Amino acid sequence: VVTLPRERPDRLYQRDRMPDPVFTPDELLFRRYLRNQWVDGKFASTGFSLKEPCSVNRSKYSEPADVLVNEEGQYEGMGVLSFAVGNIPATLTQNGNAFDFFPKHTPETINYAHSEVWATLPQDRDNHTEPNSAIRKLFRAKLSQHVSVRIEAQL
Amino acid sequence: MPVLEAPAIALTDFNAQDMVVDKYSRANSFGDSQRWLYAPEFADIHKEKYKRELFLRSKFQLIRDQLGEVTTLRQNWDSYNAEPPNRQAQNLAEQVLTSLETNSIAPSRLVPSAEGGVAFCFVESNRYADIECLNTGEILAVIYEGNNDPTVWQVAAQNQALQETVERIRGHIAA
Repeated sequence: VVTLPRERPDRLYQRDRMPDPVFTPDELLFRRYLRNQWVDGKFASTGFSLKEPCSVNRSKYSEPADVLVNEEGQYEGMGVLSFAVGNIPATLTQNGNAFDFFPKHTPETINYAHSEVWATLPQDRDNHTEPNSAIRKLFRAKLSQHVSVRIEAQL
Repeated sequence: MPVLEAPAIALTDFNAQDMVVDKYSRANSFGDSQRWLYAPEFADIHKEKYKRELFLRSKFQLIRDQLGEVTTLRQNWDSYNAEPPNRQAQNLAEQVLTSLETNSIAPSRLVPSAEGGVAFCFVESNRYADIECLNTGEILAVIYEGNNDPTVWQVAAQNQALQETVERIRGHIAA
């Protein structure tokens, strides 16, 4: 059982730091999960959503437990999983439609490590564009193949 | 010498082998002069079939229970603003479940979808498959083994298409 600090670690405050666009392929990205999203030792691909940019914390500026930090204890019992930046499929194509995928550092005032996995059209990498459901499904399946548990969920 | 015929097994009865013995006893008690040969191989076959049917029935009941549970989820159930399954996704899930039951292929688990909806997951060793019923009314399926490239396809909410998907998943999981 992991005891979670409700107090926000100092490393999470942004202060005057700017976004850091450099991600190395071996950098880990952390995300919360629930126990029922694992099925017989495999993370169900349905545990990810790409309708909006996929919210994560980057390991360069945080620890796994940091995604569970909440002053009201809102995330108590949830687990933490990780995947590497290099496991994000760079491009997926279906019926001639191509989408690029990449992590983007999107710091928040109280969570400098906050990042998002974006899907964009190759000609417009400044805006997340929701891919069609089949490409999203493929992306979610590919990503779920590389998920590891960092903190086991109790819920 | 007649061989005791294999009994039709009702799911409400508990022990197939007992039924065979009962029938044998009854036959003799009615003064049947013929000598009956007890054929345990029939009993074993039917016992296995019975146990399989019993297992599937309890497994499908569990899946139905899980379907009932996920319909009580609230907005933001995953802490990333996921929608709970809506009525459309639940109706599609019922349709898929009927097809799975008809084909006697039980999912490992039913899970809520972070994209809004529910999914039937199948895991056997390093093989994975799921059928996802989305709030948008779409049904999507995926299969993969280990870290090999997944295969994704859309499924029409029609019996024939569901049947084909169930067969494809059965083939993948049992391969």
